[in-house]
Amino acid sequence: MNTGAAAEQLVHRELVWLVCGIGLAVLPHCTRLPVWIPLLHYCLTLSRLRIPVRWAQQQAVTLTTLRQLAMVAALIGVYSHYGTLAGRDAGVALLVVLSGFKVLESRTPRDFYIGCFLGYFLGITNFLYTQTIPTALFMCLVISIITACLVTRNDTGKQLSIPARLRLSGALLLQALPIMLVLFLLFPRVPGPLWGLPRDANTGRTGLDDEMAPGSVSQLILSDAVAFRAKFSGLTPEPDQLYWRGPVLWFSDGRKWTTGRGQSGRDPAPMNSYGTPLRYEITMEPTGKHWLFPLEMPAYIPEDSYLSADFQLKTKLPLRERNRYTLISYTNFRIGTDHPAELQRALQLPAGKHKKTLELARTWRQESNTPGQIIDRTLQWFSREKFYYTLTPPLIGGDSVDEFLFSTRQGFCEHYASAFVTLMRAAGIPARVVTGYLGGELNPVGDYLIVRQRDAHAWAEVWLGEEGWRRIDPTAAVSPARISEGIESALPDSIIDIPLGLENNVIARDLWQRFNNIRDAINYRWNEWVVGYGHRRQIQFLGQFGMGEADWRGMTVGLMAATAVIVLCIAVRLFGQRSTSADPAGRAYDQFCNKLARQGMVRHLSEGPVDFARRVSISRADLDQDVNRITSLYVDIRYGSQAHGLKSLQQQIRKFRAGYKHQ
Amino acid sequence: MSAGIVLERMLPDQAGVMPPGTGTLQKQRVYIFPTRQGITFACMLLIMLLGAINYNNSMAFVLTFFLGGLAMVCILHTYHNLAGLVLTGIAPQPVYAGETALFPVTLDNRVGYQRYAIALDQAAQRPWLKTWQRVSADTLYTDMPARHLKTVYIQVETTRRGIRPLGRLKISTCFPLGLFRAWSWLETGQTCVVYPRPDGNRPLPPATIDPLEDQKGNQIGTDDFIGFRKYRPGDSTRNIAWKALARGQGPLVKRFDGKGASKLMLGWHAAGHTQNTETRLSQLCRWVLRAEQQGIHYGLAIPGFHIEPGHGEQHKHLCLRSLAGYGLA
Amino acid sequence: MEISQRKSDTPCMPHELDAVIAAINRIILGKGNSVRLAIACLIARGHLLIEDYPGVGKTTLAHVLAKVLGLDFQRIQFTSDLLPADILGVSVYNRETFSFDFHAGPVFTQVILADEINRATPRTQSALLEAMGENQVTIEGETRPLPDPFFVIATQNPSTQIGTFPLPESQLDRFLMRIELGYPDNAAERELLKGRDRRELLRDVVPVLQPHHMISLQEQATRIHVADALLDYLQDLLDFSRTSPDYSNGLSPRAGLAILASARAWALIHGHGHVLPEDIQAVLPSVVGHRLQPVREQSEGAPVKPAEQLIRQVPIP
Repeated sequence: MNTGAAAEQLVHRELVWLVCGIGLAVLPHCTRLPVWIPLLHYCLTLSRLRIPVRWAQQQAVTLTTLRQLAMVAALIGVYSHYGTLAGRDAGVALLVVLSGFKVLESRTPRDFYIGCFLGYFLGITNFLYTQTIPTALFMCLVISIITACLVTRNDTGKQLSIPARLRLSGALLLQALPIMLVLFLLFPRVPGPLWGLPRDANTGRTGLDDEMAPGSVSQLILSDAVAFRAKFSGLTPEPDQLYWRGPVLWFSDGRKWTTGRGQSGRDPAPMNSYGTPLRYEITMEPTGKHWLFPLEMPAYIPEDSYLSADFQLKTKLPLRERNRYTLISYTNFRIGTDHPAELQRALQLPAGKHKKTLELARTWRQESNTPGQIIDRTLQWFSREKFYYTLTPPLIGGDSVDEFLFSTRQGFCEHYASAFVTLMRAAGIPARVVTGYLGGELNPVGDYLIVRQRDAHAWAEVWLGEEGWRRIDPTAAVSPARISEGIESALPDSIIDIPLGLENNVIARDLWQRFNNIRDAINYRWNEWVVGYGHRRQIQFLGQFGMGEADWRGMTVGLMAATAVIVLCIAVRLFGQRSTSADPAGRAYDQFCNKLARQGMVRHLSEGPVDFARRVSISRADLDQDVNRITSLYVDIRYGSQAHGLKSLQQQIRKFRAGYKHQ
Repeated sequence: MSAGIVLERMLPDQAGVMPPGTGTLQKQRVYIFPTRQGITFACMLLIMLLGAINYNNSMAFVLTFFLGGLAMVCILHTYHNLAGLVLTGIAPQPVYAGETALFPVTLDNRVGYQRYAIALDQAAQRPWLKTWQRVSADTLYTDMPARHLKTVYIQVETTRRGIRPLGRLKISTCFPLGLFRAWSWLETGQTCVVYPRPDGNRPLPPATIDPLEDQKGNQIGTDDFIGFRKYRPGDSTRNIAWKALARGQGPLVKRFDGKGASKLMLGWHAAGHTQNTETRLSQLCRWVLRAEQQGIHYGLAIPGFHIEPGHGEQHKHLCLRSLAGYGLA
Repeated sequence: MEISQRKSDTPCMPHELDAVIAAINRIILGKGNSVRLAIACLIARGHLLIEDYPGVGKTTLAHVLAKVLGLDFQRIQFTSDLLPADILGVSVYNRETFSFDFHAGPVFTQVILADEINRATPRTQSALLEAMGENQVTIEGETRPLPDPFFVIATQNPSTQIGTFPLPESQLDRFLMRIELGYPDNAAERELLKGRDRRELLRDVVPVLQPHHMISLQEQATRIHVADALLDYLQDLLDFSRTSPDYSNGLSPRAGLAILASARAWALIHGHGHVLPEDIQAVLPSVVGHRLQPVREQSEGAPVKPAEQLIRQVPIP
């Protein structure tokens, strides 16, 4: 027993829980924030635990001033780092700093609750960065600790041990789980954002862009992140057919290739396709951009996307959530028309650059008759001369193409593609750079291809008149393995994520590979059904139950009904009267008492059965006989030496009706 | 049984001995409403939801709905923590004005689970909105183990003599998360007799002793010996307890019960010349206590009451109760 | 309501005990419960302490009890100058036989009324209390058994008074029960005032039982069935008194036995074939009232009743 005055005080054990809960919620942010911010947070929260309350009260004025100064300094720090206080990153930084100060100045229960709620909120901000299964599990831990924190606060009598509090918090969350599922599945999703997203909402996501400079693709090679997954309904094509077409780059400024302007808006060039169509689904990771990466060349495209003239497949809205698209492609095709303006653009070269390259091209052009000869000669030159395929090319200082072709001769696909296209253009053959992905890793567990960022690739397309645009991959001339066997074989082992010491062990490598496959299969399902559960997926899901047509109104009604059913189930479980007596006669008697209690005749726990029966008889003469008979039997069984009669007692109690008899 | 609080009202005369289950039972409604923290929590959930919609972030939806589900479950648990409790108000012991009256309330948790942080406080007559959230400093928190009875004492400061009703009692709980408060109003009907504060320094009026019967009174009675009191000048030496004196207990006088014992009527006018009723009642109260202590047979003669001389605890309480109720309807 | 009794192995029951109670109730008006408790105390082979004010009928109760049960009765008025020998008896030299003759004191009887026991010195008190505990007395090295049944009814004036020797707690423990008679209610009082003198009535009382009946009843009481569920309840009560912060000291195992014996006797009186929780509740205030000290010092107002609190706070399993 204690009083309200005592309950208004924050005690140490509550604060320990709070500091732990918030600290855990902040933990994953540590890698994403400048180091001083989480450090400051932990210093502030931990110092709250160390400050003796009395000392803090005596020094209240000094401390308040100090705290305010520190807070202003921290805000300035955040502002100077991000240049703003709004946006995702700065917002999170601000929240981490402020939560630290909030814990430090916690004095009343109100502060405590706000601290807990900040902890919940910090938990949710982690999902703006990553939505993987480990993060989700970690957040489950965080919210159960913060919930235990609230339990601690409300357990004024300090009756519950630490495991008991965690157990209660876990039980509450487990009961909340079905409600969460219903809400998650049925809450009407809106396709787009409600208002503009902060600019930095999608940074940190790697992927191909509409420009290519030396090093931009090789940077992607370092990333293990999944770009998309593809599942073929038939056979998966050979690895050297797996060119996933992305941005097409036309314009060069001598160093950087960009898509240029004005090519979009025109219908795609006609395409002649041969062979069997390949039907497949790709599940795109959100990129925040418009490109989809179809297998060359797409013939059937999804509804909300379009093909540009140079066969870039783009969605109408940026890819903000994980989405799945169904596509049909042909690997045998002929594309392009001799549109003069287009061919003109395919011959553009930056003025006054690449002098040595132009010189070489001019020589070859004079020596050759057909463009085909020039192409062959170039590819032969690449393979005969000492060109190397490497991820770590030496730095190129001056003219990027000239230096690569004539001095360093070490480069990655973007170097070869860019040099090749420059050479072609200089020789008068229209050419363009195509970026995208090549290959992919087959996951036998889910029977699908995983295309990662490290599969990023750049190749060239040249205009060969009758043949249309033809794909030429200069990298193949240098490193054929890259094309046929994938990036892993073309690159040294250190790139691939294999635990140390297992590189030479074939079995271990195999096991590791299998483990990775299973892991990715799980992630695939997770991404498909949980993280990727948006408007589109919701419609699809409801469609399975014949509710595909459900609008938001229908969903809301369903949502409420399902939630009500679950809440009711929990309530029935919670309030279901179960006798706790170990004795069968006692249990039956409890049942009897419950029947009477419903009529307003409550037995006191300390009231003997005979006394109770007498009291009932007085107030309800009509029950007199039944009650006395049952009580007398019960008393004989429970307190007498009579062993039989239990059956009869149970039967009588079952038949007993305490309601008023209508006569 | 599960819905509502059961309140047992004891009849006023069942003060001391309480055979269980003799009161009347009433079922009281249990209300539930979010606390201020609960409303803050709801606001936070709304912000989270908007954020989740805007970013189209599935895991943010998951977490928001998880916490929303938690709040819903919390409603049930908070209600569950309170409903089904049986409460019995027991008549409190009388106190003197200025003392703290203790109103015993028995809580009866007949179910197989423990209840935590049950708060009891006097709701007084304040408006609902003010009492909804506030936890006053003298709120009593108690935990109820499974299948357990417990008596808690609600402290009420008394200032004036008379009959002090406990008034409306609020029983509430915020357990487990503090997001919701379940509560019920209870009118236990308990009243505490507040005696006047013993005060005033007038000497006890002289007792009247019937000289005729004094003779009999001095005879050694059979079972009428009632005790000793301190020797006062003028006491008969025959009654001095010599043995006690020899033991070093000081001069004591044996007193005998009987018709000859001293009798004292405490009257209204002797208690003071002031017109202040309360002062007089305080003085009378002190006299009653002193007379009882000295073993004098005393009675009370105040307007509206006439109590024949008597002696003993019960007599004392009868007199004090009369003083407490003086002038009150 | 009456619980039908299945055990019929109680030969002199119940009408004879009912007759006893009825006979006593004709003299002691409006004190049915106290009378039953006193008889239960006797059947449970215990001694009784009556704590009340003078003139409420303590002596009359003891007297009528002895008479109705057909037992010998002696009364000892305890005073501060009472000596142990006045109770136990003395050996007097007999000139004719040239030997010491033992003159038995008033203790050699079946029912003793020890009036105002707290007035005597501790030495005298202990002489009686020893006799109560051992059911025998040792005088001048010779042990003499006391009659059976042997029943002490002691009275004590409750108001703390100067010049008395209140019984220490260890001695109080020797009394199975402590009861209060209290003032009669209005109706009883009126009848008392209208009726004849009690002492005259007492003369007309005829014994209802023979002494050996009493012994048989005591035997029967020990055979009353006690179920495990009841023992659970009793243990809960004992546990509660030991763990609750409301009591300064818990109930001893001897107190537990006393409760059980009294409850058995009570069940016998009421014709229950087995002990019910209600039986325990009925005897509990009298049995533990003097053994349980509440912590909360209630300086003013009516005294707290620890036993009633105990009953209310312990659920019946």
